[in-house]
This record gives sequence, structure tokens and C-alpha cells, in this order.
Amino acid sequence: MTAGLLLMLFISLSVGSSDISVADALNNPTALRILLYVRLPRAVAAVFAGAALSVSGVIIQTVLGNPIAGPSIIGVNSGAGFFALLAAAILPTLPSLVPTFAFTGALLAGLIIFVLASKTGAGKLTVVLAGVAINSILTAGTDTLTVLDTDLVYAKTSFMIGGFSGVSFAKMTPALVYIFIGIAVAIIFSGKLNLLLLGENTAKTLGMNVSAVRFFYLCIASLLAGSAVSFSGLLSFVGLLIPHISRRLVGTDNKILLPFCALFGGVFVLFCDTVCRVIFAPFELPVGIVMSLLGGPFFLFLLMRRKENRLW
Amino acid sequence: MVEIKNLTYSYSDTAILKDINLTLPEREFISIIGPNGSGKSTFLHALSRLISTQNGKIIIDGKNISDYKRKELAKKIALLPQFREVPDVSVHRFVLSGRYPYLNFSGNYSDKDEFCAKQAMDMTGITHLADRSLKNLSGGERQRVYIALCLSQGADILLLDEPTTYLDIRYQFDILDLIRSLTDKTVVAVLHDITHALTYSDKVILMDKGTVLAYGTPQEVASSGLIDEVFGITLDKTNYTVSPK
Repeated sequence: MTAGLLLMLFISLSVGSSDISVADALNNPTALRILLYVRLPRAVAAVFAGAALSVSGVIIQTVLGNPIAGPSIIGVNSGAGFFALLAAAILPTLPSLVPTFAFTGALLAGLIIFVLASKTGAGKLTVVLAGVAINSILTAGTDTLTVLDTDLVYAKTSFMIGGFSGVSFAKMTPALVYIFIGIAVAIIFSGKLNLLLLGENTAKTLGMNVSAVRFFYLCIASLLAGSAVSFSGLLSFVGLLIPHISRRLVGTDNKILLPFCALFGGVFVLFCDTVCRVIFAPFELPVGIVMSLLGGPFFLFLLMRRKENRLW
Repeated sequence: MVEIKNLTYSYSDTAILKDINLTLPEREFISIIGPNGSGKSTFLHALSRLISTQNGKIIIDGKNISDYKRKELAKKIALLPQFREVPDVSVHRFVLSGRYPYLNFSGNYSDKDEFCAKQAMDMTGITHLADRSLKNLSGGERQRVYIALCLSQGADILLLDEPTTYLDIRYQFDILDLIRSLTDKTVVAVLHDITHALTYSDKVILMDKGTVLAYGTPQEVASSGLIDEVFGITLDKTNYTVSPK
């Protein structure tokens, strides 16, 4: 998978509106500039966003014990999106605060779901329905913001679809650092996540502080999703699609699943983004559209499988 | 030894456990019988601190369970819950999780942990299933896997909530024989089947409406006539079979 990631990075950097070979990059200053300031940040953004949303998805599904949960389903992404737009509206001169705002929004949405799921003993379906409600409230909030501040209309449109055109290292560096730390911490403590997999009562009788571990991981999932959304917009389905495919491939042990998901999610999003750039070049499709076209049918497939109760 | 003093537990104004006083001796197989809703599961949950009781004390090895750290308590008491999740996890990894309370900060299982897990799988006869997922096992096999988890946990006290319910009769006997073979453990098991409870255990606790009606050897509890009264049946006092009133 690591080799796959490197290969995909190489392909993504070389193809585009104009193809750049290794020799071009070394000899032609224009080509080198395209590479360093346009394609490289974009590829890095795609890899980090894919990794962050996939790992966030695995965590949320495990913490809630709900295979159809995910950062975009339960409203964590739209919470991040709403707060990111809010930051852009009220503090347009401080773009470095966007990830912090996005994280706050993601955490708030996650907490609402978490409290609902744990305190009221809500069923798995209720959690998903609550996510729909939270998503709709936050979308209304986002719409209100764009009506009040018409400068945000363009930002909102590209934000809602999700994509990586126009990313730069300057803007996304804090978010990349958060993602790196978040994934590392999630992997280091993955033994605790494995224990959650066994069910709440079993984890408790084995001496784990279940509420504390759940809260800790929910914060990490929010940090990851919030950071990704702050520069990539609302990429839906990555956080649902990648965890499920990965479980099929490597099993449920989070010590293996989390790193695999991070790499696989990174490769997948980078692949989608490269396709988007290349297929109608010099025009490009937003990557969110391609991923929804892939993710939507997959989600429907999962829902049909659910009948057989063999989702994991 | 487990001492239970004045144990009381209420849930939204309904008293579920009422002033329970018991002393459970070490290394015996103690079964709990009683009609539905008599507080059997709640009693086990209180012993394993899954719920916190309002009144009374549960003292294990001279120390109140509320004073134990989570992992310390997990080394003393293992619980097989009545409603068991079926995670998509291999049997080996599941049983190895029983060693969680012994993990240090690094979170890696040691050779000793692997050894204990293997021993637990051998004892319960599931070694050949080690690489299979719990999802793909039969009910009887899963039950054994759960008991193996409790064994690898290395606790001296095993609390088993309905370990034989929903199993085919021959697997029920398998499980009961297995439990009885654990002679170095204190086993407290909620059993659904009165005949099994009286035949297999060293001591029997009869519960009804949150109180302990009778506690003693199977002979003592059977001859008290209270089982007949509480369950509304006729119990044969010699071979412990049950017939309608």
C-alpha cells in the first residue's frame, strides 16, 4: 500500500493539463513551478484529507458501535464546514484559525451524537436519523451565513462539493500537522479501540474506562475530520467507503486497520482527484462529485447487505 | 472470599436488590436461580461493578470493590454477560483481550499473555477455532470462547450470567461440566434450569423479588420447599426433576 501511494503520487504529479516528465521538471523552470506550487500541495492535500477522513470514519464507527456511521453521516463534517465558513465570515483576515474553528464544529456535532447514543441508549438507527437532523440544521446555518454575507457564496459552493483546487501549503500547514498527530495518536492507542470493538460491558469488565476512551477517540475523530474539511470542503463518503472496504481486506484489528486505512484513503482520494483533473482537461471536475458518484452506490449496496446482518 | 453486606439497588424508584447479605466461599460452584425479574443479573452486575449500588458493601479479599482500581478489579472478577456481542474478531484475538488488565503502557501483549490465552483456549477446547471469526461460530462455540475470555483474564471469581441458555441440551451439559472442572475458581452462575443448578453446584442461591430466599447446599435449598413455591412447580426432592403443580 505504501508503494501504491508513492506510485500514485508520481502519476498524479506528472499528469495534468500539461504532462510533466522528470526531465522537464529538472530543466524547465515553469514546469518545476507548476509541480511545486500547484500539483504537489494539491496531491499532499488529497492524501492527507483521504487519510484523515478514513481514519476518522473507522474511529466513529467503532466508538458508536455503528457500521453505518461516519463523519459525513452523523454531521461531524457539516459541523466542521459550518464553523469553517463562520470563521471565514467573521475573521476573514485570519485564515490560520479555520482549522481550529472546523475542529470545534466537528467536536460539537460529534458530542451531540455521542451524548444521544450513550446517555439515552438510542438505537443505531436513531443515531443515523439524529445525524440527518444535525446535518440539516447545520446546512440551514451554512445557507443563512451565505445569505447574510454574499461574499461567501463562491466559497460555500466549492466548499459543499469538496475539492482541492487552490490549496496552498501556507493555508493548510496547521491542518496537516493536526492530521499527522491525530493519526499517530489513534494508531498508538489502537489497542483500546480494539477493546471497544468487543462491546461495552466486556470492555468495562476488562477494566477499561469506556466513557473516557470513547470521549478521547471522539475528540481525535473530530480533530481529523475537522482538519480535513478545513481545506478540502465536505468530502462525503470517504469516511464510510474506505473503512468498509479496508475491513474486508485486512480485518478488524485496529493496529493494522488504522494505518492501512490512512494509506488506502490517501491513495483513493488522490486517485479520484487525479481523474478529475485529467479526464476533461483543461477543465476539471470537483473531486467531491466523483467520490459521491462512487460512494453513493456503495452506500446503497451496504444498506441492502444490512438485511443479511453481515455488515462488518 | 466475597462478603456482601446490606446490598441495595434501585432503578428509577423500583427496588431491584433489597438488603442482600451473603458470604460466598472460595473455590465453589454457586448457582443462582429465581424467576424472571428476581434481580439475578443485576446482582452479578453489582458484583462486577457494572452498576453502582446505592447502599451496602461488597468486600473481596478484605477490600470494598468501590476501592479497587478498574484494572485491579478486572484481575479479581470476570463476568460473562447475558447479552453477548458478536464482534468480527478472531477467537485468538478475542481471548487475548482478556489480558487487557495486565497490559503496561505500551499496549503490547507479552509472551505470558499469549501463554495464558492459549491455556484458556486449550481448557475450553477451542484451540482449533483460533483463527476463525466469532461471527462464524455456532452458539455453543461462542459460549466457550466467552468462557475462555473469562479464564484468560486470570480472575479467581467468575460470574456467569446464563452460560447455558439457548444452547442445545448436549452443549448445556458440556458447558456445565467445563464449569465444574474449574475447581480453583469461585464460580457464581445464573442458571435457567433448576435441575441443572441443583445437580451441578456446590451451593444454590434462590432469589425472588430482589431478595435472597434461600442459600445453602442443593439438598438444603430443595428440601426447604421454597423452590416449589416461588416457581409454582413441583420439585422432586431426590432427583431434582421438575413437574407441573
